[in-house]
Amino acid sequence: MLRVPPSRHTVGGQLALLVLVIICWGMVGRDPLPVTTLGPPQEVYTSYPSLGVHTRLTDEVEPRKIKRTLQMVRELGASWVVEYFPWAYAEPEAGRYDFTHADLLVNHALQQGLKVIARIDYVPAWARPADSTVRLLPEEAYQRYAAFVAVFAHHFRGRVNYIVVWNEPNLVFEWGMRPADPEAYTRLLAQSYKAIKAVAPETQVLAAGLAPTEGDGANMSDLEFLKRMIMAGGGQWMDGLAAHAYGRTVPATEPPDAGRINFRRVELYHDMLVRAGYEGLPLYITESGWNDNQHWVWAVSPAQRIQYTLSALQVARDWPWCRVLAVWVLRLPWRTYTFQDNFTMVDTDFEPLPLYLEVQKWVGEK
Amino acid sequence: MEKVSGLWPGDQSRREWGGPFSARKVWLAVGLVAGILSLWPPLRPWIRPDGTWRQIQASGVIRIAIDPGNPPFSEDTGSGLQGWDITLGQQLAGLWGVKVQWVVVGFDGLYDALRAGQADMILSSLPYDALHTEEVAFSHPYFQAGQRLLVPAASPVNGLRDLQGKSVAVEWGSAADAGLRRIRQGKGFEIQRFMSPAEAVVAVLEGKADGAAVDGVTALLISQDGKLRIVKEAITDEPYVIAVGREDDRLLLEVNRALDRVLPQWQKRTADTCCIQ
Repeated sequence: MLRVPPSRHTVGGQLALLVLVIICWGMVGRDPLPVTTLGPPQEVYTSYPSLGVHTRLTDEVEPRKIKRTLQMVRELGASWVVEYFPWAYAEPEAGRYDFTHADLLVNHALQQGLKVIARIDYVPAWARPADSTVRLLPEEAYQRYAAFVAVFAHHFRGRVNYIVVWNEPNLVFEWGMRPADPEAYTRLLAQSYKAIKAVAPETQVLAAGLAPTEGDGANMSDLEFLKRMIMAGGGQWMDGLAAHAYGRTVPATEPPDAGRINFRRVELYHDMLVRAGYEGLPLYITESGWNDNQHWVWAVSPAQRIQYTLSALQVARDWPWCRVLAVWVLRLPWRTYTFQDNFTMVDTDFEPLPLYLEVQKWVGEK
Repeated sequence: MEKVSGLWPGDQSRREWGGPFSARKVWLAVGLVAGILSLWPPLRPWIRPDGTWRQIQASGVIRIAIDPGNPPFSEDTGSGLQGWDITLGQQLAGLWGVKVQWVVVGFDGLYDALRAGQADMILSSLPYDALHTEEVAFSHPYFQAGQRLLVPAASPVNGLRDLQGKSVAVEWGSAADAGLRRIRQGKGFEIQRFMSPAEAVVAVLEGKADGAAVDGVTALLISQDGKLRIVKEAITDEPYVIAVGREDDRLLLEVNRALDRVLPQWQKRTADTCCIQ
């Protein structure tokens, strides 16, 4: 008869076994961890096909939150989603690409029936001088940026058809703490345009949305910046112009005026393009809106915020040159407890705020 | 008693530890109990007093970070800082027998000031924020800034459940509007929307609505004349708290103790002074 030798760790072994049994017992009957799938393909039902919204999913890790955010874009009645794709996240080392998160986001957006506009900036450390800001791109590194946006365009070919080259380059902060330089930006735009078109000719290259500002020395007026961009030949290196149309404290109907920052200021951009012979270039408003934080200097009341936003939808309907009107911003991943929270349409816990519900109702009724 | 060896592993070492009440065993037990007790949060401040509290005591000064741009809680009037938070900070310091040194920073920089050691605590109409609990510790709430319901003094409404069949006036699109939309399901009340909170309040005063939803500060200001009262149950919860460093257990304990003592007096003062606005 075979005799099993007694274990030297009988007590310990039995205790470990008991613990294991308890753990397994606890797991029996529990729901498995939720897995977020793409779900069935959806369509956007809307009376306002040019309505879009800027999301902020760059720092959103959980797939279920990404999916829910994009579902809420569709449920709003918006067909377009503008999103920020940081270069440094996707190419952390020169030539090593990681589009895992970007793929997740784009695939969910497409499944919801949305069209994606990708804004690309945020310079990786390897492409800029040590101790510089993430927005500093030296001219000698333009080719690196252009190479990246080409890889991006190729990777997302057929999925992301609109790429915005940089963001608000007329601001010192966005231009790496250097004075704004429209000619230098135009050279970056030209290199990016050629690189993208070489791999994905149908991808629409959009010049950066400019910050609406009167200019104060190093920060340059958006109108001045655009004028100099056009003079530098920028018009031939874009398929459209991204634009930021913030209303500050005045209604959406206030007429445009070079000395005023208001929603209709984008009409001045269009006029400038027409005068320069680029009347066919459309505008894509990738950011717009009003803020209702009562401690912020550019705030309106909550009721005015809703009124002005709905009025802006009406105004932009009469702009045949405006392809997209996107509102900044659907939701932030967390509350900042600053005025930034008062640009959102949906709370961090996905509760729709009054502006979301009113826009949804307006789009549904018209 | 003769010991039978070989029954348990380690018999040899047991012999070395001696009898059941040997000095070694007693010290081991004492150490074990002290170790366990030191992990018990209420005792931590006493067993391991934090350096911040000692520094405040030694210097006679507490450095408080504040954003002076949020009246009526804090305001730089040109002749100095004023507001409810300023009063509260001075009352706390008075209890501790120290002076306040205000560290003025923008709201965005409050946590950085604490983190960088430029301030000992933050007292600046700071909402509780779970995202920061890994690096700071929050006091008990001292003010409910969430959305509140104002009703006529004689109204039978004492809670949100009593709103069945009633109408509530609110500023269109406001946080109060959002709060009401959120809780409306199942409560059966009507929302009347106005272009400003003032119009919503007037609607109640004129008997056109049963209640008005406004933020906590506005509710406090408006309720002073006694015509309207604040329903205790808040529509949304947004407590203001004081923040100290995560390791500053003793300071946190002292803040909470002091709040318990000064809050009734502070609340009375804020109620008295708010009508000046």
